[in-house]
Amino acid sequence: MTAGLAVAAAVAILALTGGRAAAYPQYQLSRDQTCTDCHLSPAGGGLLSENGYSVAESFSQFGTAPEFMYGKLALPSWLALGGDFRGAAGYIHTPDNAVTAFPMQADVYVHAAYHGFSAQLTLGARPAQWIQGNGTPGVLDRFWSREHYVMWQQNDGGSDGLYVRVGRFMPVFGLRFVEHVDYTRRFGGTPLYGETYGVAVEYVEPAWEAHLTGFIADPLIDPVVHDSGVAGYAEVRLDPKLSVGGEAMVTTSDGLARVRGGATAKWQSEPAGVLIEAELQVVHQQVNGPGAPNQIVGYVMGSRPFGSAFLLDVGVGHYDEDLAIQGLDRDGVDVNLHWFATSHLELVLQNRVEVIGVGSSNGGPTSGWTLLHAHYRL
Amino acid sequence: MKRLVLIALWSGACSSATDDRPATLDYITETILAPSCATAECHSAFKQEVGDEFDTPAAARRSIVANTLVAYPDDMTVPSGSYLIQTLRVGEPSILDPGSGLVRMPYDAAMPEADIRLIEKWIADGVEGAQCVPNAQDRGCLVTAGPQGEPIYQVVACTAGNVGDVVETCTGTQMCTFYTGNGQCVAQ
Repeated sequence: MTAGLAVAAAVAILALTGGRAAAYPQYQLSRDQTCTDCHLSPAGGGLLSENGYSVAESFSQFGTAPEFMYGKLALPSWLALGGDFRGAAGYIHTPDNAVTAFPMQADVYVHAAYHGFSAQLTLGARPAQWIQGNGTPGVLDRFWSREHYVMWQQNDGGSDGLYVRVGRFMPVFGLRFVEHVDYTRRFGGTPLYGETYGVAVEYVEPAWEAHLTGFIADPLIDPVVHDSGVAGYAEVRLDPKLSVGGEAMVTTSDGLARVRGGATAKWQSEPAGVLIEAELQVVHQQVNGPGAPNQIVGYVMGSRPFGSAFLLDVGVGHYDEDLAIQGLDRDGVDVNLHWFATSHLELVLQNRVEVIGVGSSNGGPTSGWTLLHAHYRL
Repeated sequence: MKRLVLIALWSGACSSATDDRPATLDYITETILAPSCATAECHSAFKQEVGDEFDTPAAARRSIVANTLVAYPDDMTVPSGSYLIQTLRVGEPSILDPGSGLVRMPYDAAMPEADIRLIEKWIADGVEGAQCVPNAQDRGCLVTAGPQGEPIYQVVACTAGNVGDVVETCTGTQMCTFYTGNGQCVAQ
């Protein structure tokens, strides 16, 4: 019921806004077909290509030169630099009330390419690990590299063809929303700081793409994810405005085996100018000893650009941690309003309401938040 | 989209009000504590906020014992009074910001009452798997409350992950340490 009402509300809100589609990952089918049309990485995210710069400039209130450091620092053609800085502040009710402010990201990127081979390095701040006894973290405990890999690309300098990556990165799986609090990220196998060491073979072209990654739990640091396994994701564009995908991930860790299978779909509704993206996963877990719960994780998001620099997202998530037991499902509704002030600066008003176990005495309190999120791209 | 809504409704319609999930440390850690608490910024191995880590059964065991989140055997009689359950249901004073009031966990989203009840059942059943953290000599620490509520630190022999015989009771100026030489009395 909750999900149904939320979808209805999403459609109503989206229908009230007007404009055209351009830029940002939520617009994949409205302008370009693949992530590599705008990003250097076959997974999307991070450094932008020339086309990505163009999109960033065209869909912003005040424009500005979109290149690294506004183009004031000339770089050789084999080198790309960039960075992302994010922070947020606002009010949370989860379910205790608090006014909060926190940094989210401070990463710089280096990408060097030579004849189809490239090396990618992400350096940035990390949350320092807690030290017992009020100790102070050392410098190396405050900085790290989330991603570092070498890549071979069949189409040197292009945005399609075969890619092979070896190193530390996030396995490509599912829709890969930017916001890690989206249910299919948080509960769907690709949580925040879920990057780890692996090998990926990936093929991307406008009509379809496929990604296969084998990975291991990070042996060098205390990681967020302790799983080793294999993840696969494939997406077929049935039409320039419609795609469907399939996903599977098998992982093991000490005392736990987990299998995920799911589907994705994206549809760009031209008359309404709305991109609908959906992902649904079924998860089976085998815990050491008795217990093998089945779960589902789903997320649906509608995205509608309007004006020359605004984007409205309305998302609905559903997560049921054990299908056999009442009261363990949660539903969340997200309403995010983005304003692309310049080609480098984005402000996002993020809002969530989350309910647990609606209609069950085993449920929980309603939570939510309103946060203003600032994002600066170097 | 329609399919997601249908499955959501289906999952609610087919689930049971009877919670027959196993109340074991492995199950509770992997299906409740890890996804709810062991996020990147909180109680993962990566962050270990306030010294608690819940992403593996071994880490959860260490945190529960070392930080007395559940005091064995005292909390067995009233599990709702344990630090862990109090933190989940009503909140405890903030460790990071003392004086800021009670902080309920998980900080970013509430935990279903059914999950809290399962953890309570695990405590009432004997805190299986998290009574004792063994050192290389299979000894660990046991903290119990004395007549006036004062902590009594004891070095115990761990057996199969649980507490065994008391080996030594630390003196009033000592405590059993969990982090350096676990299972040994050291100066407080």
